[in-house]
Amino acid sequence: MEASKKSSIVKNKKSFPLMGRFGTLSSEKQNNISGYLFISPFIIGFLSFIVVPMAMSLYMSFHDYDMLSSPEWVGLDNFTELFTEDSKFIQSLKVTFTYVLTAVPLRLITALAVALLINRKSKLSGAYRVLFYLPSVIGGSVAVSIMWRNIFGDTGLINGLFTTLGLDPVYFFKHQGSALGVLVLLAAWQFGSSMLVFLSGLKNIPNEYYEAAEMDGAGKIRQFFSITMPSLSPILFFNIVMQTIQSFLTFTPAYIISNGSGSPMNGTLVYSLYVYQKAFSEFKMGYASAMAWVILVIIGTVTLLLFATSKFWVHSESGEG
Amino acid sequence: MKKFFMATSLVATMLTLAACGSSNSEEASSTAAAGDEKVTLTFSWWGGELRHNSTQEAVELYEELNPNVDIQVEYSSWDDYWKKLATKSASGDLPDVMQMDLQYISQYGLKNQLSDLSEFAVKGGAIDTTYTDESLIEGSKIGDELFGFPISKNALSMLTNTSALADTGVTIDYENWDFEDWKQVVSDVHEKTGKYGMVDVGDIAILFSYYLRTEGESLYTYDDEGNPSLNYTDENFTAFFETMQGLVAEGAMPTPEVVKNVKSFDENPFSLGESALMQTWTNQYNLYNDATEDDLSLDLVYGANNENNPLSYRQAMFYSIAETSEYKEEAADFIDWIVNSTEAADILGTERGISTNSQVVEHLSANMTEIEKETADYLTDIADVVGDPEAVPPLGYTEINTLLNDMYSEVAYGEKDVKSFSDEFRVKAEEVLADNY
Repeated sequence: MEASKKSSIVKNKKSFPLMGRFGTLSSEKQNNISGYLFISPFIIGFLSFIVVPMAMSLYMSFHDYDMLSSPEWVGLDNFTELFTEDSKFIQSLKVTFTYVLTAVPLRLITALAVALLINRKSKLSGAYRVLFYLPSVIGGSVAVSIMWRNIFGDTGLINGLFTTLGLDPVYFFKHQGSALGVLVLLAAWQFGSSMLVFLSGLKNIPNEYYEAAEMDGAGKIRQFFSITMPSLSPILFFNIVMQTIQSFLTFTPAYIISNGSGSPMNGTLVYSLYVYQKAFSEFKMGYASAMAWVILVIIGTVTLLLFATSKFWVHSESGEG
Repeated sequence: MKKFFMATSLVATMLTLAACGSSNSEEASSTAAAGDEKVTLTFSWWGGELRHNSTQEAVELYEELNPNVDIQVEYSSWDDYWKKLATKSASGDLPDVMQMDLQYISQYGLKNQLSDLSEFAVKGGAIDTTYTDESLIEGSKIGDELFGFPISKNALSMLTNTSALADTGVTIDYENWDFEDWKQVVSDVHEKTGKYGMVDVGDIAILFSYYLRTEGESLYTYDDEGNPSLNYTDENFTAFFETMQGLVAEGAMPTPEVVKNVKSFDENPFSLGESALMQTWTNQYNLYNDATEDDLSLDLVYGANNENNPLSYRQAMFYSIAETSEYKEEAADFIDWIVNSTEAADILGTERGISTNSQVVEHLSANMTEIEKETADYLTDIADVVGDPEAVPPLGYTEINTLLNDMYSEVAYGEKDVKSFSDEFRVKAEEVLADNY
């Protein structure tokens, strides 16, 4: 085989003189080079848009940079100020963690519940799938956030309904708790994408498991916890990790709904919003870069923890018949 | 072999696409030209719909009159404007002509982002000052450098929603009222109608600075070397903020986030008849009249006639030229036209405030609406009682301003007492000033 391949290469070299030395390389090397070429656009993009800016951001985090004059080296000052003097930093962490701990479970539970409901064979299940997925299609965009603000605003849709019914208006955006609650609701409302992933996971569970369980006399609830959940656990794990990371970084809804201020009283000051304020409103890009690296470490740690605990509950497919 | 070709052609296509994409989205900034060849200026401003439309019209007229000049415009709302400008500054890409505000002029000017216009801004110069109020130009300088040309002036005033006020039966003696009287009025209005007595403008520093001036103090002062320091006493700080805290607690004034959440003039409680008073700049009188059907009047702020001359003319806004601009002369010519010419004035009106050019003001007065006349008259009427213009806010002003507003929020929500506010603010503000000077 090798011999024939080599001879065909030599023949090809005559027909494609531009190939130069490539034609004389082994086919394995040729494959490798082709492979690298295929992924080179991605690599170039990754390097220029992710690695290089990250390196620059790390560099900036040790400087004082107001964007109008050149950066000044300050060493670890940004970090020390962040951890010792910045009460808004603590507040933004509180807000972000509260958001993550409420939005992610809410979203995933809703997604799973709806997926279970739709999973039943019914003529309308196709339509339901589309309907429930629609909110996520619109995405975490500016338009949706503005719409949400108009629904829950002081003179918005809900209050309009209340006043027509003769009830007192509820000022959702006046209290820290309810304002953050509105943000959590927005995240939960976009459960569609997670739902579809769960749905495909559910469809992959062989029916035989359920039939066998029924024959053994297991009730629906027992079936759920002993068959459905373990089978879904890899997908559940995937969703948890992805949603957690995404929720830590949430920005658009908080920015739009609070008008960039994190109000009321910094109740919606999610971490990225605070970074944005420090960078662009207060001209402190170096400090903001330090903050960005801190959240990277935090998210990395949380993800590591999730992975570490995963072996206790995530059902691994390997080794199963 | 096939794979190799596929791979290379794929890479080549992607790189070409990427290159095409980026060159399309590049701003066609000033291309190197000489003499009469095409000059491209970038011009940016903040404002509302009205300003966007009228300014674009003016720009088009200028392009007609000067066919070799092409002006690319960029406009946005107040909030977004400063974020964009900061990023542009970082990339060395500031617009040739940009609208500038007192709050930021030190920041951009002292960090060499703005061109010194002192040579242009003289009588008969590139930006003609023959009809411009000299004191405003002097008051705009930082040291000897003029980083922005003041294009309009305004002053603080008390806008009154006379319909809302009439319902309360409360009367105000605008000529003679002082801070205590004002506090009483705000309280009474709320007591009688449950509505706000006064709505603030969202930046408590404005109201606080004015109050300090009525007491003969000010927020900042500069020494001979141009170093700023805080210039108020703790007593006055406490007196003002305790009053504010009380009024907010009563419900006579809104909590800070109410105004922060207002996106347009028609949504403001003042426009909706939910507040009797609003202490704000005279050039907003026009905008609020457009936003509401109620009757409004333009009146004196409390203490206006007292011996400390608290009212002052303020440079409503400037036009600045980027230090990195390749067309400073042409930019100066454009500024001259748009500020001093009557053709521009006819299109722009008094939307940016009453012009600093007295000839323009006269020219426009023939066609001014009732509201605009009232505004112009107010400014001329207070000429006898105005004090010195306020000092240009120092470097680090935005940080100090954020501190003041944040801490005021905490006080307004009852999470901090005024004494701690006073002590903490003073310490932190002085730190910021020390950092910058």
